[in-house]
Amino acid sequence: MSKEVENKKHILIAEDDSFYATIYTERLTQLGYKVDVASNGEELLTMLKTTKPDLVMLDVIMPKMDGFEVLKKIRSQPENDDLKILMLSNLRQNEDVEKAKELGATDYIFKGSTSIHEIIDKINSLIRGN
Amino acid sequence: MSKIDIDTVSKIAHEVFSPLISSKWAIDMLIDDNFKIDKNKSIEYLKNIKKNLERINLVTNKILNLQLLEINELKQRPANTNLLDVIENCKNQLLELDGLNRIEIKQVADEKHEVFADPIYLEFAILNLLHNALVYSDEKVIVEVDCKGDFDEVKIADKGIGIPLSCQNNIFTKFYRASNANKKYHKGLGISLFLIKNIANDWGGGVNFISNESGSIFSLKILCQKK
Repeated sequence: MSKEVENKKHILIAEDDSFYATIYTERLTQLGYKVDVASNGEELLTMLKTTKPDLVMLDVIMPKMDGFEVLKKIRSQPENDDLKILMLSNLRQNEDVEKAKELGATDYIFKGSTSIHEIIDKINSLIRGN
Repeated sequence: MSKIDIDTVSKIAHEVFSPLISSKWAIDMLIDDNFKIDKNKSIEYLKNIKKNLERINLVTNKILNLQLLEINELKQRPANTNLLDVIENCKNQLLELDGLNRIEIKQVADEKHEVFADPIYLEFAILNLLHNALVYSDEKVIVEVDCKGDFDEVKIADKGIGIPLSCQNNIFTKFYRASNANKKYHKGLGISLFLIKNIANDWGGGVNFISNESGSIFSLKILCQKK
């Protein structure tokens, strides 16, 4: 593995919609991130057994297992205590934000009121630890 | 008007906002000078945006019809309508959405064959039955038209996940989804079959199905043309 690839910050995304997956992957790859996409929560949990990303992005509504359940399972593993997790949802519901925070999400974004540039800023800031 | 719960609102929001937001973000990227994209990729983005618009069109139509039905304003205006034109039109719309040419029309009736139905709601019923067949199956979907006495029957057959026996009695209930539906397609709202049943009953026909673990066949009965 080259030094450049080795040093890239790694983002793991659970996203079942192939267009969102393309958008995230292409935008973030151009910005120098290494991006992997799981098509559902179960797949993401399996990937987390063999990789330690710098950030996980989780949508609330997903097939097989919703984002909250995935979040709960991730946080039940002590080795994931310091893992940064960004939750995303379409609908602005304060209860969801509270639930995500209680379950250990690092941050929460409403996609409907956020531009792709703002999402990128949020990702940059979370990865830099701001 | 009956009230819907927060889970349903959330699902509807997901169905509408999800394609809307990804399209908005994609357009932002296409017009952003800092995002490097070649022509082929741009075309792929535009095709995805178009597909998203079709998704929004499909779901908003369902929600609108549901609301019209709730306030007894879903009024059909039946007329002699070319059945095969409607089926072909539905097939073409879904080709955009599915991206694969999976609908096979086995033509039984002749090309000029007409039924007596409101073309808008006939298209709605066939389009949504076909869409269901596509999303719950990975294989070809077969459409057959059977002319029987006063009624024609459009049969839509898929080799999908089928409807579990324990769910079959409720499948036409508003917002109901079969227990195995989420595993294959989590975006459904449980509206289509409820609407199709009401629409088809209203025109004096009906909708029925047979289903097992190897697939389903939905039959839509429509009055033959008026001479």
